[in-house]
Amino acid sequence: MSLIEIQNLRKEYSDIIPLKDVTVSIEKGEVISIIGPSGTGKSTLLRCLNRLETPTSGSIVIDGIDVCKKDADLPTLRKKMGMVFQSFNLFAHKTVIENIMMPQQDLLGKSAKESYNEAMIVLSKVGLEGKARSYPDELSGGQKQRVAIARALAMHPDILLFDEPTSALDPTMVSEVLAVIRSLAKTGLTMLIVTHEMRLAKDVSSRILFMNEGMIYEEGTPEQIFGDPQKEATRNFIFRILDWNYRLNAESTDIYGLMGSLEEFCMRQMLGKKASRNCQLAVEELSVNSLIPYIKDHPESSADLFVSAGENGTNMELALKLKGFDKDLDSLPGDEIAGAIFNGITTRLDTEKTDELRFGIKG
Amino acid sequence: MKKIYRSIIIFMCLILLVPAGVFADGDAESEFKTFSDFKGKTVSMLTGAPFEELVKSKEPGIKEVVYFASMPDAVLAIKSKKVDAILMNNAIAALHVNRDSSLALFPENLGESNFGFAFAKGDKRRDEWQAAFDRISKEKIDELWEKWTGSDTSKKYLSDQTWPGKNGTIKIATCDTLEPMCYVSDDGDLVGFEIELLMVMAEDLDYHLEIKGMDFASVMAEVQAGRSDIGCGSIIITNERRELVDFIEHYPAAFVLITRSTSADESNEGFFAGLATSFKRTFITGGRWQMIASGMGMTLLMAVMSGVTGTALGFSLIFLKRRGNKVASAFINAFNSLITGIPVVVILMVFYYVFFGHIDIPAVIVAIIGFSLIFASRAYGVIWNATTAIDPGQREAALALGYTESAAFRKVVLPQAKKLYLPLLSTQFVTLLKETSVAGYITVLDLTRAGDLIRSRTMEAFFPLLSIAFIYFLLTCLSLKMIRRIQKISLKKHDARKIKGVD
Ligand SMILES: Nc1ncnc2c1ncn2[C@@H]1O[C@H](COP(=O)(O)OP(=O)(O)O)[C@@H](O)[C@H]1O
Ligand SMILES: [Mg+2]
Repeated sequence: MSLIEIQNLRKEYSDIIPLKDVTVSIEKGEVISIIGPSGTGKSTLLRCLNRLETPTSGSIVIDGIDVCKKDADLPTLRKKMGMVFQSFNLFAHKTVIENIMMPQQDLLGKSAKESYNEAMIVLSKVGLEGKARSYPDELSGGQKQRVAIARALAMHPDILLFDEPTSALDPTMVSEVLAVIRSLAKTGLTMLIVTHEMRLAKDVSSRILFMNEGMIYEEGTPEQIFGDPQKEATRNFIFRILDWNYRLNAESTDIYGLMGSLEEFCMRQMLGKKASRNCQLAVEELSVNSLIPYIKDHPESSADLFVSAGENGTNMELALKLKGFDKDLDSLPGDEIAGAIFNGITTRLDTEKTDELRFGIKG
Repeated sequence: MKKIYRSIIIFMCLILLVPAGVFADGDAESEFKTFSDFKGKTVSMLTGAPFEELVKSKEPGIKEVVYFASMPDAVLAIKSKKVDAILMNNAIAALHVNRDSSLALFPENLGESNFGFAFAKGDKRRDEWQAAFDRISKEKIDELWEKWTGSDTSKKYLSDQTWPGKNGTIKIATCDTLEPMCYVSDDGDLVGFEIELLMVMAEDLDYHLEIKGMDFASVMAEVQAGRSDIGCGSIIITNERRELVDFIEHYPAAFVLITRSTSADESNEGFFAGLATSFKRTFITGGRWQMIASGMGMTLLMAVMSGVTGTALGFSLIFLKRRGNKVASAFINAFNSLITGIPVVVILMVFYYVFFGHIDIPAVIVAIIGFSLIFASRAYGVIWNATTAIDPGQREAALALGYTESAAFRKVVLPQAKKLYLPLLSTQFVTLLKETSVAGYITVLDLTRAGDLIRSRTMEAFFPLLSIAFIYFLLTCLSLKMIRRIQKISLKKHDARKIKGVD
């Protein structure tokens, strides 16, 4: 029997049904990534598992115990199942060490000394022994999330749930948290991770659940889901996430919006430092010096920018589809210095299409 | 702290700006000569005196009739020209105009009747007391009248109730700010013509008397509610009053009007000299500071007891509400709407006269119960709002770790809400401290009423009032300071970073 058995799980609210019919079983030691568009019930599924939400129908059996029963012992269930939230949820009135000690003392009956020692062990696992006596409001977002993970670990759970653990973080802090999650994934702990970090999902999961419209729409190994998705919606979602595109035209010449969205994409894909810097630089030079000035002069023209990440996060490609440009495409970008920078970090690739330019970005 | 000192100094300066009382003996002349002079003027009387018709029958052009809870308030109003005349009985009025040359009697009477002692309608004991009254000789009564209305203050005391009192104790409700009929002496005893008359009858019938002072308007309510057996307070018998209670008539009375005298604006005392006398009269003479001290004690007692019990009750309501029980929620909502919907003083009076109407418990206990419930409702609101302001994610995190709902609330939500509700709770406490000043309505002798009693004796309007204001101000400042210090200590842990059980 599997560690977690979910049968025909359904959750209704008065106005919306976030979970329609979910059936899945999860073995001990599996690392499951749950991906999918927003609002498709990913959080609801996790929250039903530790019964922060009460399912409308269906059953969840964990370690042989039906947790949907009216008389289910929720505190005992939850002690065995840690949860890491998007918004960290550290206890603001307690220091880091107290955040980790208090639940051990209150719920596991450990002495102050024992729970202190345990707390220091888990803090060292997340690299934050030095912050033991800080208050949460003195930590960065990434540090808070690592403390939250340590707090969950100190309870020695059988299962660890992550609900978008990096979504509330500044891009610069995502990787420190992902590194911790990656190292945890190797320990054999059963983990369910709701995430938008595709590279994380790809690298650490034994299985990926793609959720759409309240159901598990497609599931498989990372190779299956990312390499050869079977269903239309999965493909759309995966390729949209793996690629980045942006349209510049007379209505939209917002360079900050463009660069912000590209930066986020680079973070999500966990591109190498150099690759992502070059990618952003190339797009910026091209847009600021050539495309945007030209579009401002020729309101009928438009340019579509595409960036796709290669398999290992280094071989990146920049594609450019132009409409209404009568200028010689080869002379892009216009400015000489900018042109030199651009040429220094890209290599022109061949293409059959006449209205398209392709560049490889050096990583 | 500096701020407090500064406020105190400003307050002192304000007091110094107030004119000192005008004191001199003599027969001053009234501003008014005939009834028609009252056209367009304001006449006042004590709450519970049904004489509006009587006044208007003499001069229909009177602007309005206003009511005051006590004689000192009425005197304050006439001296500060808020009203132009006070309708009073001859006994009280004579004493006031004799003491204060800025006041004078209007030359004409409005009517005549008798003073009476009030018994609950149909109370059989009235006949027994009537018989005792009839046994007192006319000469004895006149002698007593002379004693209490005369100017020889050395005779104006009462001896103890030395008779055995075999027939039990009779409770007397009296208005205690009506010198010479019934008032608090410098020794703090209730004395006066009516009190002594009752003593004489009590000795004859071998009862002991237990005398309780209160506002005039409360006396009739006390007797009707059966909380007291006999009511007195220079009550003049009228037909309306006869319908409410039964009387023993004991002395002829006349309705008169106290007005300002023609010399009202002339001050014949130096400003600072006046202030010094006022101070002496209010605090020193007859050890009146003791009355103020015990009033202050009563005020603090009520505030602290109600603050503590109210907070405890407030927390009980919070925990009750968190049970999620529908009946409990409905109960809490109803309780809160009732408390917020009814004025404090009315709540107290309902408790005193209705809920505890026939139960013999001291008024101060009733006041503490009432104020505790009022404070409970406010504390509940303040604490509840503070807990809803705490980020619900932390509660969820606690649940996800395995805490029960109530443990999560106690360990995670409440401690953080503390920072939010403690300051609000302390302002509420200061409000409560000031609000206890209405306890006088149910006969509690608190600071405000101590001030009233002193005003009724010194016949001085402003100084005692401002002194009381100043003492309240000091009390609120000091209690705020103390609360802040306690809060600081209880919130200080945040900086300590000591780990309990490890360091
Ligand atoms: N407590 C709630 N009451 C009503 N609707 C809710 C509640 N919680 C979530 N929802 C709705 O359920 C849907 C699914 O939410 P969620 O599981 O958070 O999606 P996801 O995590 O996949 O983005 C959303 O439309 C959300 O608005
Ligand atoms: Mg979500």
